[in-house]
Amino acid sequence: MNKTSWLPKFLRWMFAVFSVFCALGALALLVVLAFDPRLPADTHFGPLQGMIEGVPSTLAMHNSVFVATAMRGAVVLQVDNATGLIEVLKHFGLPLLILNAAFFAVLFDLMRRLFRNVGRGESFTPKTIRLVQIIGFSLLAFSLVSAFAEGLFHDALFAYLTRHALLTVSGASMHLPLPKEFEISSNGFPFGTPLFFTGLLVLALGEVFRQGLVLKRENDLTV
Amino acid sequence: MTIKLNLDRVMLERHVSLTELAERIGITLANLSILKTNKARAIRFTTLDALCRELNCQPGDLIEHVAGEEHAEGDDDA
Repeated sequence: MNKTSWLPKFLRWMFAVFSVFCALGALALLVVLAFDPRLPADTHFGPLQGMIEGVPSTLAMHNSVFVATAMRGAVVLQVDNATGLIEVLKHFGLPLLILNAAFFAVLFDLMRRLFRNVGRGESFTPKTIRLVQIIGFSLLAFSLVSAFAEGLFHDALFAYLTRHALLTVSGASMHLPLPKEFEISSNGFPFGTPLFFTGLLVLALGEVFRQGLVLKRENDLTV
Repeated sequence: MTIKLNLDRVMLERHVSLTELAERIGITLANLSILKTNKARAIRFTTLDALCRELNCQPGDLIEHVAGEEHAEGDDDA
């Protein structure tokens, strides 16, 4: 097959760029983790205007106390010993980010190779089928691993905030409750469900490609 | 059971080369070679028609059924 559209070539280059960016991101985060920078005790900033979950908010830090205000002061989250919070984010959040960046670097590279084959007219070959299967199984595995890692992160973060944070809503103050049990979830979905089902879908497509290979071989030997 | 194509024998009798025949019937040399070496799994009626026309023969002159021989499976199905 010689005639292919521009789309496989475009997608191939797009995934190549994404893969490089993700790999560089993972590398940069690894460097940060290796250097282990610490927030100086006298760090102060703000108040900075920003958005938290789509709500206009202000953030400020003074004397190791971090304050986030939203809803025109109606909701205030105060974290004492903010340097400890940064350490939690560093030791649990950074590895999670590195895991995500590294996985997507690999995934985008696999997609690049897939579209390279498609661009060459080699859509129905054993090599392409293997690539599709690897992508599917990777998505399945990553959905579970990242869901577990996110569970660990949320657990550590909320354990810290429970001890060091005070939430004030319309003047009423309360401490954050401890999570009842360890949850394996990704963005609220159990077991990283969207990625998991995407992986299953890709594996199903792999079977479609396998049948396509049989038809192609039959066609190639029909003169 | 096996179906054999006696294309090489008929080509020799008609003194026609592979290249010339491929050109005359409008298929590639590679595909004609697949037919000649009995590697093809199927033949289109249009190809069979073109072969019979150019070689001035009947389909039975080209295709032979040989009983008793095992069909050698070439590529494995995926």
